[in-house]
Amino acid sequence: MPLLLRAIRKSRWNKTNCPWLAKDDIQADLLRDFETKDNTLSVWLVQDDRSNLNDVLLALGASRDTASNLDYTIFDVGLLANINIKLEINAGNTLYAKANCWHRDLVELTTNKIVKLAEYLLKNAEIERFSEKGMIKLIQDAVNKNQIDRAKLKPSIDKRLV
Amino acid sequence: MNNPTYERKVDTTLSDSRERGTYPRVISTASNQSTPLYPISSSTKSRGTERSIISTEDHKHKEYIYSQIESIFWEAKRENFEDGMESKFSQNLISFIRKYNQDAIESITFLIVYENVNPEVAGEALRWIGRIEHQDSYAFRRWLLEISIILPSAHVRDGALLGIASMDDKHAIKYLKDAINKEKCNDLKEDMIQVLEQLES
Repeated sequence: MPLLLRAIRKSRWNKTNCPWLAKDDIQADLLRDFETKDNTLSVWLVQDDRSNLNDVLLALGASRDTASNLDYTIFDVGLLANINIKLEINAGNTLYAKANCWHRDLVELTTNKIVKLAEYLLKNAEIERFSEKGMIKLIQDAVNKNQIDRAKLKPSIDKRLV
Repeated sequence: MNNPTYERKVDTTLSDSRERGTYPRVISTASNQSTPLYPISSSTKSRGTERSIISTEDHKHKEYIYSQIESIFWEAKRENFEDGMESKFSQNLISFIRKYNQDAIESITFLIVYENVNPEVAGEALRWIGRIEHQDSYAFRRWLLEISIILPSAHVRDGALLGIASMDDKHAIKYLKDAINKEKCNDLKEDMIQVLEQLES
């Protein structure tokens, strides 16, 4: 079954920041990683063998203001049915055209659904970090292969490339 | 660039200065110089700020700088930060460091080390402190990251770690190894090991 990736900020998911937190509760700041727009949330489809994972990370990283690490959570798309969350295919708008077809939106979200999603992800999903150095290498490779137009990169990213 | 030596400057009035808007008076203590706390550049020494008590004029200037950075951190509490994305806070922080150089880092140090700020904002600051291009403040910024990696807040330690990864300077290796030995949070420890491998490669 395919997976979904959502960019997050890993330190918000760290329960040691909240020693007062009850065992089964979740810290409210974590919901900042679920900030919706028009009641939708942006996610990316990742093949179950993760063969397109680096493409998705590249799409996200190359479109940022500066070269940076990228924190993300990755989870089974099947989870959405349990929480009754709808998934819509909406092409992404990143500098890496190849990856834009893997963009999805979680739509018609409610506060209940978001809290359930956050609870599930905190307990079950993988929380990962892709390094800044790794991101620069991905972008460099893509530029070398003409997969990304270097002229469209933000100057602070361009400066880091050879 | 100045090559700072490490000497101790202690804020003996800190407990009275935790309220917002009060700059902690910096007093050096010769008896404690064996414990490094703050890097002193040769230019700082030539200005005489290592004297027993800093001058009133210096203190007013530092108080002004402190109030500026405190406001910048205060306003940032409302922002939602994203990896790799600039924010009003990051822009203000970079301008502030470029303008006030090591005085800026000194003020930021007081805010972060003595936990006078929101931990997530402190973590965000440390990410950018490792990332900005500003040679004059390089050694001071690196020093701040190296000491912040063992501070109590995991937000702050994570921000310091990412700042160190951005700087990619082998100087941080010994501090990082020390932090790994002390780190209680397994996730953060794994991230620290990843950065250590990066620096050692």
